Amino acid sequence: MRNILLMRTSVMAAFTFGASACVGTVGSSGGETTGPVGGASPGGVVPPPSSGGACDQAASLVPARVWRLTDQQYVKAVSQVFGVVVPAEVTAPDTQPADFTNLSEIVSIDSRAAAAYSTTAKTAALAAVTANLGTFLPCGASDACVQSFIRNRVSRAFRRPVTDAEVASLMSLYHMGATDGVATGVGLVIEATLQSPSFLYRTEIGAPVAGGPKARVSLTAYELATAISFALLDSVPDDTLWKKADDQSLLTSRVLAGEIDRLMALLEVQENLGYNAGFWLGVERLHQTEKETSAGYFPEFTPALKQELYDSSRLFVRDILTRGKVTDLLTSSRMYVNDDLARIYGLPGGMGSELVAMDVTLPERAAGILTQPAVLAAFSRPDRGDPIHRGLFVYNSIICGTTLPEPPANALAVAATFPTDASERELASLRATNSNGCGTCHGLFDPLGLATERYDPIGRYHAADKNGAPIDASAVLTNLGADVDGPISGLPDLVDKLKIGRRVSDCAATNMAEFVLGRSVVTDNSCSLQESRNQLAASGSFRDYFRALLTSPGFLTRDGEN
Amino acid sequence: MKRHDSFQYIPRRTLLAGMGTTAAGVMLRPLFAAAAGASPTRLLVVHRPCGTFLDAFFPSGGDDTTFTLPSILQPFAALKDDMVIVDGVTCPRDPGWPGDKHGAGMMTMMTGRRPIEIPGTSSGGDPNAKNQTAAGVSFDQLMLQKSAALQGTSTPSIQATAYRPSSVGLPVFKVMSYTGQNQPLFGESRQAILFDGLFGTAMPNLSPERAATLRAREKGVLDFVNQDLTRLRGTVPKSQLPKLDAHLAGIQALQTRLNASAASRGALSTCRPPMLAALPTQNQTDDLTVDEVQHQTLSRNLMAIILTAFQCDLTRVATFSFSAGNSLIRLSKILPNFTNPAGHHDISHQADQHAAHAQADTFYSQLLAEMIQNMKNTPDGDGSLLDHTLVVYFNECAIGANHTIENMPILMFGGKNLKLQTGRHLWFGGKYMTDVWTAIGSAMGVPMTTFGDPAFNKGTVSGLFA
Repeated sequence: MRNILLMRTSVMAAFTFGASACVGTVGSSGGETTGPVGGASPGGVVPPPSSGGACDQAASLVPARVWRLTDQQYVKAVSQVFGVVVPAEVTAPDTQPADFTNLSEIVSIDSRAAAAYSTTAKTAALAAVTANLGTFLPCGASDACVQSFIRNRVSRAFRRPVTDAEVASLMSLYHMGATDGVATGVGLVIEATLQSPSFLYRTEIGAPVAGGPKARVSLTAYELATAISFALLDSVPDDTLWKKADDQSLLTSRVLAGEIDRLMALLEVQENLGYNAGFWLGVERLHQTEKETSAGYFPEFTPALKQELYDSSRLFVRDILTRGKVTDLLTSSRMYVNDDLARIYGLPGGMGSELVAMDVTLPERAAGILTQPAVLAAFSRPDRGDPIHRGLFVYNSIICGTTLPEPPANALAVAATFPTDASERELASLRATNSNGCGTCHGLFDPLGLATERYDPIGRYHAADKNGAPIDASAVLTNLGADVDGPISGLPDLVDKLKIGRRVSDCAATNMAEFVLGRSVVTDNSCSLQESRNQLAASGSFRDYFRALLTSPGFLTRDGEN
Repeated sequence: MKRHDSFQYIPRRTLLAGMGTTAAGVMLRPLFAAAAGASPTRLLVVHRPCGTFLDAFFPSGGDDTTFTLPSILQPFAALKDDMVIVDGVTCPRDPGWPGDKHGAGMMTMMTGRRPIEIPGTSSGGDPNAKNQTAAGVSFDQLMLQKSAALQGTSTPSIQATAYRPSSVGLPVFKVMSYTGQNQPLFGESRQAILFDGLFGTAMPNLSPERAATLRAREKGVLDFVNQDLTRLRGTVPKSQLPKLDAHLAGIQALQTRLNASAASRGALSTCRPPMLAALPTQNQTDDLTVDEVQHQTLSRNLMAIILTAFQCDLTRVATFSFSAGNSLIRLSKILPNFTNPAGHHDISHQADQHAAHAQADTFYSQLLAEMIQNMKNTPDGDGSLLDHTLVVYFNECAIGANHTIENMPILMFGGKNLKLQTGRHLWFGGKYMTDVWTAIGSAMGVPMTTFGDPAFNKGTVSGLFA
């Protein structure tokens, strides 16, 4: 996922890995090209990664690492293992960042988080023994029964069998608490479990060796089950997956593929993939969006409408990720609609408050994610449109344009010289043509945003302005590639151009790989990545893509450090 | 408005310190701090975001003692004699560095060093990259490391922020305190967690035997966690060690807190926790975000917690940030006569909106003035808590629109025991913030000639302390 310039809360850090080992030939693709990179840098479209020629069959997708659970993963895991739901904010408040939340090299545990984990573990332990003690100890309060609880439940929390030494330590904790009753003893075991690194970190280090792996290692069956489970379920392995890890059969490709297919069919997996793709596709940005709601602006944009818009787009993304095709991203005319949304966006209503899938016949809702009102609203200012950030969204997230340099120090000073009553289109023209060179970069993405000029800050479509004059949504694309450059008359034209070739498909694959791996995949020569990307381009199905990626050789190993 | 000053505070440091060496291996307050009941010195660094309108911040005319307070400083009118207006200071930063400017502003003001990229990450050429982290220790944490007089409390230091989104994810905009390179201490925005951490482990109303039993259990849990962490640490690649080391430090902090809680219990038997106002809940029909709804109350509550923690001597070092450099708070939703509808950061980039910039900064002046006044009203040793606290108040930019680094809008308060020259408007033209920090460090008993990057030091300012 690419950073979006000037976005206040975009917190992307692009990770590089394996670049120095690259032996592939960038751009020597198996058929698709995107043309020139727009002459002189900066800007242009990233040449698609190599999908043919030499690539490294055995390359690991990521280095060996430990990876802290996100708050959402923590909550889900506690619920799955101990049957209680703790408040959603464990280490962080509930506000969503505008980026994938699971980047492995960013989240760590400082003293503040350690204190929060301690507090939350106490809450969870008390709730768990209050509600579920009988379930935890079906055979009664004997030491043997408590041991069996530890071996069964704590192992599931740790995603590996507990060792005898750990059982002994936890039993002595149990006895320490049991002077106040069995529940207190078991509670203490749960408290310790939920603060343990074995619970809080996923490990991807293979069979443990002192000092960490020195060479490429295979994930253990338990680590592999954990990796798959967190990618798809955002939680610890379920019973079926756990059994396949426990008997090691998960390490056979047939069982592995079967488990991935089984999981992909689960509704909670579909919800999870839709949710996480929302960080890439702008849906999660809506949380941070505010509109001016005073009279004359957008009084319709109530918290309730914002929530409905969010839910609607999240369902849209879920459907594409789990049942749809990559082309649907730009061409689907599906919307999830209820009466509120129908009224405001001019669609047939009558379904009440429930969001209902509808294949909308209005041409202005036929450009997939680009015409979802939530996304249009997310990339707008409180009181007016925002072609810059809409354009950057397309440039960064849909076509993975090359990273752009910073606006120069005088950018704001230059902008301040523009007439205050200039329209967005006039401003774009001033940016494109002024002598300060703003157009070098703005010329790449402003036109992409101008194509959405007929959508207001809450995503409604207006063919004409309030004086009745048609709103101009035309633009001239430049330096994005020979097959794309040229005049367009609006969003449908833009989509027709962007959907050519593998540009959007490859960009989608890059983003989803980053989510699955928790690291960015800007450059690579891994056959695993290339082949899964080819899979997405060939079949168009995200489901096929996830299967290809999660079963690829590179996903099953991790590189050690010398 | 609900304030904590409905309580009668009774400082009981002497009792607290007297419980010195009970548990084995516990480091409590150095003896000299307790000598003759002398009040310890505290350090509080406060940040508010997005720059200011300099013409309404710095006085013009008048000499350094008979100046007139401009509009942004009006809320401090009653505190004029407890305040220093620190004028002419430059942020130790090069505006040409790539990376987020608000983040770099915060990090350079606090550490005096150019930010680095988080190890293992790359900006990917993004000029506004958010993967910055501090290259070294922040001033507050350096003081804590170097000054025995600041050490030995149950909680070594407090970090808090009233901006909830700022606790998410990367440190870039929001972390004030670093214990070292890329060792951020994220600010806590949840008042309950902060409160429990400080006052919860004191376990009032328990028999000593019962309290000892509960502490032994907590210790057992932490021992188990520590063991697991040590085992895991031995099996990971080097690149992963910083993550686990930070965690280890966190667990050790919990152990310290637990060990010290016997002492806290004694203190809190007479020194009462603050009563916090309930945070307002969001009304779904309104158009306010939770952050906007709660911003003022949360700010007051967090500052009240810090005040009591100082007063009860549970900690001597704190950093507090009202909001982050990317603040989305729409002050129009909080203040009745604030007309600009945009969020604070957006407004700061509207270069001509001087009135809004001044109004926004005045809002934070008002909140801080309440805190300073409360500290002044709190008896402490031979004077007030404010007399024994050095407060530094700063912003990560001077002018928000273009993130300027000259004439950083800085105030200082209190510090009477350090002979801070209050009641003055002092001009330190061309000096860096690092030069102010070295003066403060020396005044607080940690002599220093430079802080952070020597290239961003021009020599300690003079005249700040008598």
